Amino acid sequence: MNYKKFYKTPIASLGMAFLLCSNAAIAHPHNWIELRTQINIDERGYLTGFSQHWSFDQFFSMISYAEMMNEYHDEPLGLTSTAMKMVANVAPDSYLSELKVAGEVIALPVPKGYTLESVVVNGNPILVLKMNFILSEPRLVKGKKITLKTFEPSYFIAMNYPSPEHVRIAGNALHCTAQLIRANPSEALIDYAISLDRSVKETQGLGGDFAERVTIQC
Amino acid sequence: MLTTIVAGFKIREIKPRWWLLVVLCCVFIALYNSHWWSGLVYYIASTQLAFHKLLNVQVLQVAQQPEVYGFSLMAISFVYGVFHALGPGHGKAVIVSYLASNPQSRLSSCLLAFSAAMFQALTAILLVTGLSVILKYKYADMAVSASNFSLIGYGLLLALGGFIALRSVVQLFKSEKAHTRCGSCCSSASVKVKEKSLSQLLLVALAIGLRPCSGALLILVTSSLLGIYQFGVLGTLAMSLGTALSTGMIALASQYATAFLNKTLTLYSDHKQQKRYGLCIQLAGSIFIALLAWALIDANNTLTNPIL
Repeated sequence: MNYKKFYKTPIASLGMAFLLCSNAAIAHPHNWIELRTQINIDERGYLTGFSQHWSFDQFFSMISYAEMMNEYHDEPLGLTSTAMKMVANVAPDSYLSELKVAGEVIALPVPKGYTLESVVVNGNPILVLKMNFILSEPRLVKGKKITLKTFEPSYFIAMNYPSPEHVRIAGNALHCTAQLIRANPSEALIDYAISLDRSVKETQGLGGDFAERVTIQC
Repeated sequence: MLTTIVAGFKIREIKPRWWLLVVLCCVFIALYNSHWWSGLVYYIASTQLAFHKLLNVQVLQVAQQPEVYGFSLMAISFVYGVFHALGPGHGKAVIVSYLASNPQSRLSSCLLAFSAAMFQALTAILLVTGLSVILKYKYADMAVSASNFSLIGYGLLLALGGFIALRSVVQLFKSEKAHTRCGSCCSSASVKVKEKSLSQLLLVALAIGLRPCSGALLILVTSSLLGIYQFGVLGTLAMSLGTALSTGMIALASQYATAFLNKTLTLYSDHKQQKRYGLCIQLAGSIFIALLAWALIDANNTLTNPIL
């Protein structure tokens, strides 16, 4: 074995070992949603509900829009029907949101109004789902802490706030302060998530580890 | 039988290069446990993600101006194929373990990688043409069908692994019989180990290729919805060329590594023992492939978007 070959083969084996052991297969998540949330606190200091906009990613929007048009051949009808389907699909998961006031979980009602809109962003159509949740019993939040976590449990979809400005408080007579807390998943968890192939049985709960939390102190 | 085989292994000489192997293993283990490693893995994953998004944007641009962006879609698909294949899928694991346990020439190693990539592209094109374009399946339903389709490939792998394992056991047994019958005089009557079998090679490639690549499905479905299906097909073919390039390198590396190991760790005195050693490796490799196939069948459960 001459010098060159002697040099080449260990590198080849090291490279191969690397390729076999790195975990960068087709990773989770597969879709992305940009969130925008408005928390409604009335002048008496009651939390009355919140409204949320979910902006779907370009690819999901494009495919869903095209399939919707194939099915309904009419944009308004298609958007309404698709919105109904979406809301029905997320209803069992409490609309993918977990609302707590002073540590107590508040059950979310069926959104009072919801629409799916096709908006053009940077020349590409994007689907935006808008939902408005109005609590059946408003909660007095003076001196209390509200937290809202919006995430898709299996982490097939990542849900993120592009900036802290995407969270706002309407009314806000109490001058509550909102804070956006980004997820801080451990490195091992990131490794695990990116190693997940499409064909993985159990990812339920993973989304919670990557969830961003909105906290509001009144 | 096993004890006689083990007892029959005579150590000829351990070449001084063995230390190199130990050093390599230590380096690898150290790397694997370092922060640097997960950083690198994260880098590859995020680069793949960036390419994935770039691909989406590209398809949308082709729809607007096919004559301008058609070519760049193919170029990006090619690069995506190269990068995508750098992350390990089951295909690469099968290729590497098959080549390590069934020594092939350099040409056949490349042929295996190339044909696996081509089969993969053809599967994607046939699936999307049949289900999505002709039968008007939705993307999510099509993805589920595609994953069921890949079950056939896993089944084929399982059968192949089982078959090779069984064959090597039979051959080991035969060689044992021949050995006890005429003692040490029969080195010429050694059992023939099939090393080059083109049809088996292509079967392995087919089994790997029956699982379509998600990137290919993505551009095919998107382009069909946008009415530029021909560009999707061209992009898929370009992507598979990229994949073939990467997996071909891996196959070659595997071939080199096997040769290196053979040269570094030649333990067996006579030709016959060497052959038995080869059969044992083949048995281990095929059992590994069968187990891998079983694990893939077991884990085959396609997740879909829970919102729509």
